Amino acid sequence: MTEYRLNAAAALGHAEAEASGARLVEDTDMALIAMTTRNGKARAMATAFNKHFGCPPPAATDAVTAGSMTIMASALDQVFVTAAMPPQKLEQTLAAAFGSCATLTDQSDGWVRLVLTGARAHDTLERLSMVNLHPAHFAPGSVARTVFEHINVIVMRDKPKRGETLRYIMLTPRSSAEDLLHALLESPPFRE
Amino acid sequence: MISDFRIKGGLIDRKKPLDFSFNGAMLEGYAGDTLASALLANGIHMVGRSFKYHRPRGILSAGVEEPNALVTIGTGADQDPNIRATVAELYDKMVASSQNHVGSLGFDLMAVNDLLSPVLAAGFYYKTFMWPAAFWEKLYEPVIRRAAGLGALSGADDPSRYDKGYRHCDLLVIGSGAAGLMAALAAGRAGLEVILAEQDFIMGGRLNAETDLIDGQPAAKWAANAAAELAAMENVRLMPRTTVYGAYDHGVYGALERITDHRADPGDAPRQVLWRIFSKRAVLAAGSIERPIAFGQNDRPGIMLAGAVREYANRYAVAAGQNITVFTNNNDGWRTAHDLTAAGVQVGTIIDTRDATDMTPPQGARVINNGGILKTKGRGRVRQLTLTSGETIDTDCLAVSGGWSPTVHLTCHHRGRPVWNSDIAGFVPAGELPPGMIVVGAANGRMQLTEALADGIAAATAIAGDLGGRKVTTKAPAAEDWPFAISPCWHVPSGKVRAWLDFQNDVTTKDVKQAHLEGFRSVEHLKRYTTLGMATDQGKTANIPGLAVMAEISGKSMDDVGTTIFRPPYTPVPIGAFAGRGRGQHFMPTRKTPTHGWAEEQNAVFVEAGLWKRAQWYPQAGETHWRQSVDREVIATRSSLGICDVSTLGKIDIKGKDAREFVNRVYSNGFAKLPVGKVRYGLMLRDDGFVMDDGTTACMADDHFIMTTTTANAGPVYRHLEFCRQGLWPELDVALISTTDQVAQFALAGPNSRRLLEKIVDAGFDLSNAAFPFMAAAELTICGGVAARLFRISFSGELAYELAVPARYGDALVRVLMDAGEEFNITPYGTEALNVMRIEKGHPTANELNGQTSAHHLGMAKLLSPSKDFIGRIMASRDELIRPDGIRLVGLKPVNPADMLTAGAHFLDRGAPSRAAYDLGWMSSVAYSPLLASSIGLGFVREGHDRMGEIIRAVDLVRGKDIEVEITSAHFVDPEGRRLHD
Repeated sequence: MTEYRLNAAAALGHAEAEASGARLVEDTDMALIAMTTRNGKARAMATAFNKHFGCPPPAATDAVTAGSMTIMASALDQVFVTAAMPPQKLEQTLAAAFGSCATLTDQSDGWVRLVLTGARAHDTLERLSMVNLHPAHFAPGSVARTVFEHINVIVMRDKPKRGETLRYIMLTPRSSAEDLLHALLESPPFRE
Repeated sequence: MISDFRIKGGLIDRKKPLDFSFNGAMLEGYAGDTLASALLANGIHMVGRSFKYHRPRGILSAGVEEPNALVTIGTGADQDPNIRATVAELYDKMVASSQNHVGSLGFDLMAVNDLLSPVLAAGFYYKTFMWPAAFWEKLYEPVIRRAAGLGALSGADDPSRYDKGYRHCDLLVIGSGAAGLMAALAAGRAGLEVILAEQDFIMGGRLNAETDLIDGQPAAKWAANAAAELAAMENVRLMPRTTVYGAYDHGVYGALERITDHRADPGDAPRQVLWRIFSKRAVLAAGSIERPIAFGQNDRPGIMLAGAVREYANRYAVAAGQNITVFTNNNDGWRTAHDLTAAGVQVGTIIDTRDATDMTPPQGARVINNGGILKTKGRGRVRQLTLTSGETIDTDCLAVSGGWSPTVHLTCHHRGRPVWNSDIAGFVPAGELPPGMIVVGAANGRMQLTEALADGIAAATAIAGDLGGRKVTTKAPAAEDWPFAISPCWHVPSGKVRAWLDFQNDVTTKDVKQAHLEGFRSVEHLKRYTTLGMATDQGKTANIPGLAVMAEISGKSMDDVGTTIFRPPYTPVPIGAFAGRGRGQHFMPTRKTPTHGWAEEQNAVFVEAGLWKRAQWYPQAGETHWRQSVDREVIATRSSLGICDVSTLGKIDIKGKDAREFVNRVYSNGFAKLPVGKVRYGLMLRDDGFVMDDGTTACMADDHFIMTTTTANAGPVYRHLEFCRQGLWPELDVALISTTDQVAQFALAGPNSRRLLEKIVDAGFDLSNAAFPFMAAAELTICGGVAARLFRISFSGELAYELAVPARYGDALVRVLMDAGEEFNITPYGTEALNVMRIEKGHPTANELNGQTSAHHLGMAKLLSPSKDFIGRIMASRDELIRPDGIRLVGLKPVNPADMLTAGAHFLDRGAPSRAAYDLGWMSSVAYSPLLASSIGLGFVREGHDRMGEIIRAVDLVRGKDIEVEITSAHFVDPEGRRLHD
C-alpha cells in the first residue's frame, strides 16, 4: 500500500471577501455532474425527471431544486446537477436514476462555484454582465450562461438563505476562476 | 484684476468656498461652479489660444459645445488635457492651466502664426508642402505635428482606474431639461423602468439657466422637485454626470459616467464608467445649442453666446461683464438682456439684425434695429464694437445669439439625416432614427417651454402604452413661453477683417469662400478642406453658420446645401474609458493549471499558450541561459525521470452508444476496432482535407472515449466535434463535454517513470509491461483511493505515462511525485524541453500542423484509412495534396555541427539562386539536441523522403544565414521505438 496521500485543494484557496452590502465565498463542498440526454431519450428523460425530481427538465434559462440537488440547464439537452455531497456519490445516485437515458460526466473539479450574497450583489454583477441580472428581472431559479470579462460563467439566482437579501451562484471554469474572482472584487461594493 | 463678478442668486453653494488655481494664480469659487463660471467670477475671460493662429480666446459657452475654453486639469501623470472648462465641475484645490501656447498665455510666441494668416488659409497644407517631396517626412510633417494639437498628454501611464458596466431599462431618457423630466415623470409614474441620463452634475438642463416659472415655482426649483420625485421611485434611476454619447444597434446606448472627475480626492473609485445601456425605447431630450453670428474679429475673449451669459448670471450668479451689449437675430437674445438687467447687470445696447421686433427692451437698454457689428477692438478682452453704421460702442462683454440649433446628434447615429426647418432656422431630426427613439422638445425643433413639457408627456405616454405600463395621466405643469421669433442672419460682411465661424479650428468666412472657389462645395468636402466642425467640439457651434455661409455663397437654400451628420461619440470619451478595466495582464483572461503555484515556487519561466500560462523551463541556481536549463531537463528526463504538466491539453469526453462510430468518423485513421483499455494516435482533417489537429484518444469503455487535443486547438476541435454531432450526424447517440479543466494531468517520462508510479498507485494495479503495455489506458486509484486515469503514451519517445487526477488533487500530486521521485532525480521539465524531445523524436506539432499541410506532407498517408469514410476524405485525395513529388516532413542536420538551424529558413539546392522559384520547402521546427550535441530540425522538403542523405541549403535571408544541411529521418532518437515499448 502506498504511503502517499493527496489533499484536495480549493481552486481559489477558499476565497472569501466581504464589503458593505455584499459577500463573496468560494463554495468548495459542491459536486457537479453534467447530465446529457441520450439521443432519442428525451421522453424517457422527462419521465425520469418527474419521477426523481418531481418536475420536467429545466428550460434553458431555469434551474430547479429537488431535495439536496439543484439542476440547471447548461447546454443543448444538458443539465448540470449540483449537490453538497462527494462527486462519486452524486454520480452514482444519478446513474441509478437516469443511467438509461442520460450520460453523466463528473465536472466537480472543472468548475468553481462562487456564492455572491448581499443587498448590493447586483451592483457587482452589473459591472460584468451583459445579461440583465437585476433581481426584478432575474427571479430566483433563473439561470444565464454568459461571459464576464471574456470568462465563461453560469449565473443562477438562488433563494436567499436566512438573513440574506440577494443570493447569486456563479459557476466558472477552474483554470480562469482566479481572473473571475479578480473581476468580481474589482467591482462595487468590493472596490469603489 | 477685478476679483468679484458675483451677483445675487444662483444655484451655487456660497457656504462651500473652493480654492483653485489657474496658471498658478490662486482663485476662489463655490461648490456648484464650473471652472468656467469660477474663472468668470474672478474676471478671467481669456483662457486659451486658438489652434492655428494662436489668437487669444475666451469662454464662449456654458456647456459641452465649448470650442475655446479647453484647459488642462491636474498635474503630472494625472494631467488631463483638452477639458472644457464649461463642464468641469469645480472642486477644492483644482489645478488648471491653459494650453497651446509657447511662453505665457498672455504672450504666446506662436501668435506669429496670426501674422502669417494670409498664407495659412484653408488648404494651405495641401498647397504649401508639395515640394521638395523629400522634405515632407523629414521636415514638414515633424514640424507640423509639433505645432499641431491643443493640450498634451503627460506621457506617463494613466494612473486612473476606469470601468465598464451594463444597465437595462424600458425607457432611456437622454437629457433632463423640461422635456426629459416630464418624459421621465410620466414614464416613471406609469411604472416603466426608466433611466434618466444627464450630462450635467445637476438635473434640470436648461431649466437651471432660466428664470421661467413652472407651476408657480422657479424653473430650477421645479426641476429639483421633479428630480426628487423621480429619485424616490424604485423604478427610476437617475444618472447625473452621464453623457449618452452614442446610439448603437438594438436599443443599446453608450454612456460615460464621470464618477470622480469632480472630487478633490478620487479615493479608490474608478474615474469614469462606460455604460452600455440596453433600452426598449429612448426619448431624446437633448435640447438645443446656441450658435454665434460671424462678424469681424468676433473671436475676442468677452464675446460670448447670449444664452451662456444668461446662464452664468442665473445659475452661477456671475456677471460676465459690467457693461454688456447684446447682439441677436432672434428674441432669445432679448431674454438675456432682461435677465441681466433684473440681476442688476448693466445692459447698454441691444443690437438686433432685424428691422423691427415686438420685443420690449429692459429699462436702460438702447435698441438698435437692423444693426450689425463690423469689427471689434480689445487685446485679451473685447472693449469696443464698431457697427456697420460706423458707430462705436464701448463694452466689456458682448452676448451674441444667432439662434438655437436642435441637438440632433444622436438621431444621426443610424444614418438619419436632419432636414432644414425654416420656422426655427435649424436642422431637425429626420430619416432613419435609431429604432425606438422619440425626439422631444427643442431637440426636435420644438423651442418653447410648453411644447417641451407637452412633448415629454406625450412621448412617455405613448411608450408606456406600447410597453404595457400603468395608465396614469400626467398633466403638464403651468408654464409660460418666451415668444419665439428668428430672422436668420449668419454673418455680417466684414471685408478683409476676418470673421470666425469655427473658433476651435480657426475657420473663417473667408476660408469657406475659398473652399467654394476651389470647388469644394459639398458639405462633406467643405468640412474636410477647411476643417470646419472637426476636433473636440465637432462644430457644435460652428456647423450651421458655416453651412449657411456656404449656402449664401453658392446661392442655394439650406435645404439644398444640407448638413453633415454625426457619428459617436457626441462628446469626447477617454480611450481609458473604452479600455475599462481591461488593461495590463487583465486585457484578456489567464488560464492557470492546478500546479501553477507550485511551478512559481520552482521559479518557472512561463509562456503564453493561448490563454494558458505554461511553464517553459525551470531555471536552477547557477543557470544563466535558458539553454542550460532546457538541456539539463532533457538529459535528466532521457536518463532517468522527468515530469511535465500537460493539463492544458484539450480533453473531451465522448460518450454514448455511438461514441466509437463518432470517433471513427472524425479521425482519418481507424478507431472502429480500438479495444477497451487502449489508446491510439489520431489524425483529424478539416473538410478541405488538410490536417486540423492530432492527439491521442483512449477507449475507456465501448461507449466512452477520451480524446486529447493540442493545447491551442482545444476550442476549435471541440467546436468542430459539436458541429459534426449536431449538424452532420444528429442520428448518432453521442454526448460531448470538455473535461480540460476537470483534470490535472502529468507526463512522467524516462526510464524510471514506471518505478515512480509503482510508489503511488494503490495495490492491485499491475504496471508491468505485459499488463500495461505501450498505448494502454486504465482507470485506477492512487495514494490511497484517489480516482485517476493512466495512459501509457509518450511524446518524448521515452518510457512514459500520463497520469490524470481530478484537478483538486493536482497540486498535491505534483508534490507527491516530486517527493517520491527524488530517488530518481525527478526533474520538472517545461514546454521547451518537451519541444526538444518531440523534435528529437520527429513528432509534429503546431509548427507542422499549420493548416497548410496534408497527411501526405506529414508522411502520415497510412493514416488515411481506405476502408471507411471520415471528415476530409474526398478533399484529402486532391492531386496537389497527394502528389508524389510534393513536400514531405523530414529531419535536418547541419553539415557543420557548429551551425545552428533557424526555423523559417527555406531550402534550396546547392548552387540554386536564392529565389522563390527554386524553393524546396521550409524549416518548421528547430532545437538543440543535447543528446546529439547538434542543432536539429524538422522541415518540409519537396520529395524529401526520396532524398535522404542529400545535402541541401537552409537559407534564411531574414537572419542572413545560408548553411548546408543533410536530409535525414525525422526520428533522430530511438527510431525503432524500443524505449517506448520497454
